Amino acid sequence: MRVRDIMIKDLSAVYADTPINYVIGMFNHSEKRSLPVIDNDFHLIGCITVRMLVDKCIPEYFKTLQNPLFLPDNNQFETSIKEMRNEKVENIMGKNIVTVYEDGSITEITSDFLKHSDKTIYVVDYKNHLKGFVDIKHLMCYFACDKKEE
Amino acid sequence: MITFVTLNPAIDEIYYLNKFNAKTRNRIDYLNKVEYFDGYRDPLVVHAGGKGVGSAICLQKNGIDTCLLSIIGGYNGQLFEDKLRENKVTTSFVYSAVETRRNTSIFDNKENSLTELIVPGMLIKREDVNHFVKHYESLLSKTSFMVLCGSIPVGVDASIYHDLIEKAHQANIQVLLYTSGQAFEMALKAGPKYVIPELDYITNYYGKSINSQEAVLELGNKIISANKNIEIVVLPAMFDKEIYFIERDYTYKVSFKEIEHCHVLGMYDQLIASFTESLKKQESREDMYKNIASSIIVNLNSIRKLIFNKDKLDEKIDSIQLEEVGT
Repeated sequence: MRVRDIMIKDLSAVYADTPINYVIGMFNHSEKRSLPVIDNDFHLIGCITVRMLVDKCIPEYFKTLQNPLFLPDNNQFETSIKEMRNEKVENIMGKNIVTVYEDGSITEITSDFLKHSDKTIYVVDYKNHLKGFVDIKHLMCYFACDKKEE
Repeated sequence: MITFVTLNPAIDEIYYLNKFNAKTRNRIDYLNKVEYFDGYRDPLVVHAGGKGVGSAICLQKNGIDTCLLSIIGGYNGQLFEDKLRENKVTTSFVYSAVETRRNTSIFDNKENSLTELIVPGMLIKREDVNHFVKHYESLLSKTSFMVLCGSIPVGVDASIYHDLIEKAHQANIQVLLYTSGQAFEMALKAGPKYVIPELDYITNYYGKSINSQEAVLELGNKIISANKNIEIVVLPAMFDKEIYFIERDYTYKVSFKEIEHCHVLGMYDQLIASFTESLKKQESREDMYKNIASSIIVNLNSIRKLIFNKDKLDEKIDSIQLEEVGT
């Protein structure tokens, strides 16, 4: 069994110059919490997640606070999102992403999921063209359903 | 990879009933299958629909890599995505705020009739169309053949197919076009290599009703004359149970008047799948036309929306007679 047997062949993506407002809409209108970022030749150049957008809108020190009431301005989150709306994906996207090849092993991708906190791992070909993704749910389903025996 | 563009996708609900009674309550018995002339059916089947979607699924099941580019939204959009993934079709979606439409078809076994409720689709926002076009341009680098299918949703310019064909040509990709209305007329000017007009909705383009062989040939010649790049026009003339293959120098037809049942649900999708598969395999024109005719006859003779079994689809090939009907 290889990555290609459990991956979702999905090429839905955004671009470095896509406005954040549009990306928020795409997250809202789908079940996705992560989208790949590609260039015009379909090379995978990064990814953007709901978490990245949230992190961008709150100050670094917030994570150390035990209570959000310590924030100087309770509307800071809303204000930041409004300010971020017209920014481009390239300003927020993550560039160091974990990828696997279609012919990669299930052991390899399991290891990637365990080592990294990413819930989605993107699948690329040897030229780094986007081919799809594997979600941690698919891997769990694969193990839970004993599909490896089929 | 063969890329299918379906701008107006749908969820298709198909009810197979023993008897459909209008103006009263019809209860669906989920536990019992309904016996039709070609086998038993579940009383309700839900498909990912919209022109070209079934074709992409057919090809993928026959081992040809396909990708579907579409705009989806809402609960129906999510269901549409799931249905395509079940069938291993590569998906490439723009996620919109508007709910994907849902069509309903009801087969009445006793009357041998089909009732259809077709929803036109909701307004698509300009920003979604822009993202769609940008994504289409990127997908060209991964595409070997392009199939543009179906109607244009509200909010999308009728010139979109014309523009998409030109972009495909710039990337040296051949195009099969299947649509109707103003989008069809405009797209012809861009010169798609293969054309399947939706005959039921093309009266405006032709200017009169299409109910004879002469009218079909005249329409075919009008289409093929629209641009020198157009090579083949395929016209299924259901009023006479015939299919015409119109080239610049030859025209062939296949009659299937002898078939007992004639259910058109899914016929065009089956046609496009068969056409595309033959092109991909670089079959001779004669073999290609026979394959297309065989798959259409098998599809018409079944109440299933699509037939995936290649052996079943090919079973009529030996009996098919291509008749040359002039230029």
